[in-house]
Amino acid sequence: MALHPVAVRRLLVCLLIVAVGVSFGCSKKPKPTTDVVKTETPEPAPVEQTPVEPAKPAEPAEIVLEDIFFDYDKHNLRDDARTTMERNGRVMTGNPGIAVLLEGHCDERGTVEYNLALGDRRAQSAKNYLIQFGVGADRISTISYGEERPFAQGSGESAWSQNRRVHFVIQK
Amino acid sequence: MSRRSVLFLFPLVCGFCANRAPAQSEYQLEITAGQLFRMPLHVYDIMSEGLGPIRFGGGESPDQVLQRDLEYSGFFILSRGTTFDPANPAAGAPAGTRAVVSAVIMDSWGRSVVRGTLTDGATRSRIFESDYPLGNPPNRWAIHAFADEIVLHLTGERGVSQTRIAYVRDHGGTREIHVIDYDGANDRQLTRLGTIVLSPAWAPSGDRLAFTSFGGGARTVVGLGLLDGRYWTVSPSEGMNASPAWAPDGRHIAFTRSVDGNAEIYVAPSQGGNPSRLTFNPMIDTSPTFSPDGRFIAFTSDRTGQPQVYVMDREGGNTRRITFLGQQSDSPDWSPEGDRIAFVCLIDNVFDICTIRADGSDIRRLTAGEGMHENPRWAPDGRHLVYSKKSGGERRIWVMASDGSGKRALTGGNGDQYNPAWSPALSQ
Repeated sequence: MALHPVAVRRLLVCLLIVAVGVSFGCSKKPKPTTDVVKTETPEPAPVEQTPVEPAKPAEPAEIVLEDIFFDYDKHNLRDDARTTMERNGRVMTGNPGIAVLLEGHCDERGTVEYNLALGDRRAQSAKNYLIQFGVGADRISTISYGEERPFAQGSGESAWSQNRRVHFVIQK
Repeated sequence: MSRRSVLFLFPLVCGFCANRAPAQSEYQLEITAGQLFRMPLHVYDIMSEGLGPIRFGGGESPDQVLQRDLEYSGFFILSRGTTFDPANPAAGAPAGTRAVVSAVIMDSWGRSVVRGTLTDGATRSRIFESDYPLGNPPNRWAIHAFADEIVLHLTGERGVSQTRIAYVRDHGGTREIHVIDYDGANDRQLTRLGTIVLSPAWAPSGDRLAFTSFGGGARTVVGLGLLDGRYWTVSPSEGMNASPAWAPDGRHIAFTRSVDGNAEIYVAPSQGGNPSRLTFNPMIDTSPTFSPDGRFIAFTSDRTGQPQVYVMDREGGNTRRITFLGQQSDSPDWSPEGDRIAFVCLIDNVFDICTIRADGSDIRRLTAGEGMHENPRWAPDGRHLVYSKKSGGERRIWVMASDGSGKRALTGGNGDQYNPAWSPALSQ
């Protein structure tokens, strides 16, 4: 059986991962439901007068924006999406130095062109929420990938429900 | 068109009408696969004068290509003969044979040609004889040209053998536009942009394509000259711009544009320039397609809560809904004759291909059963459709006759293949 180059590459990557001893499943991509950026906390200035304990460098704080999910052929925010967006909004207002790219995605059902427009609307729904939350519009950009960048491969509601989403990409 | 072929068109047209005429209620959606009237054609094996057996790339013989071209046109019932006798051209042909096809591959003034002859089955007089340069290596386009000339002489209509299909292929994350001959042969990659490209659309002249490009982080409608390989920008580059459709005059392109999460239909000069907005609706408007007279645009809108097909004037007014299926209707494409619109119809949660009269009557479902059918696009003869179908693994490009018969896959291999568009008649 002739192996496709991509399959060969995947196989090699899998072998490499096994060799390194990391226990990721090879058949599935790891699930990037969140976008994480490490922020460097500035080192505390040395304090000469009180040499009681050496100051420990603080752990870098993580900025996490969670994906939100949508019903089929819908762009309105569900209750669970609103809960998530409230957390995302707090993260955005609490970290005024970051900007975010909102990626609108759809499941494979429906046509390419319609799904581009639908993904656009989903990203806009999330953007509108953040603006109402007090995040400056100049910190938010949007892009629709329609059905071109599915997060979960395959057909069926379990894959589709993960693909109808807005994904947040933090831009510093 | 000769007088003879006009006379002959009478039974042909009637057969066509009989197939199209039966009135169906709007929701009567059984599969239609009518039988068009087909004329008997006797086809002799192609002879080779001193050039030996000819094989095209892919291993097919000229006979195989000619037979498929003629069968695919949908006009003929073929019978085969082995050795053509010029002294008695209809020898061995079944009674009632309309015409006899014969050809010789030969050297003519230092170049290889296919000398094709069409002979009247009743009078045995020659209808036409033409030379088609074969090229080196041999090019199947010579056979396609002969087949289309046979169709033209016998029916007065243009065949589709000299056409191609552009489509999008997934190259593992990026998408590129490929082009195949109408029968699936000669697959070649047209773009090497390393980004996502979607929705190719042929200019009416056949020498340019427009498509959606994600290049440079933008989503822009761009044009590509097929002769000079030159790219140009059709739409603005800010916002989302997608889903181009050429006006029949080739001077304008309608497309979808969104600057604030609200997709609307715009039209701009095909060489680029200020777009003018045609739709004003807070819901999604997308997938425009021009009527062949250029006076109307059909498009998809979800203004009632789910996507349905609408028709508006070329300038944007007088919008009326034409599909009323319980579920979705999307991705319209106006037929070259202007009488029907093909679209994706969601029926019982299955995406199928339907056609409907432009006034919203006489809906017909052309596919059914397993698989997801999308993106129907008419062939320039108005008698065939290309579409994408996913059943199981990858999406592939399929074609069928416009009555739903003769379905077959044109593409295969790794990576989704979708978003097909059928070219107009091409000269080479």
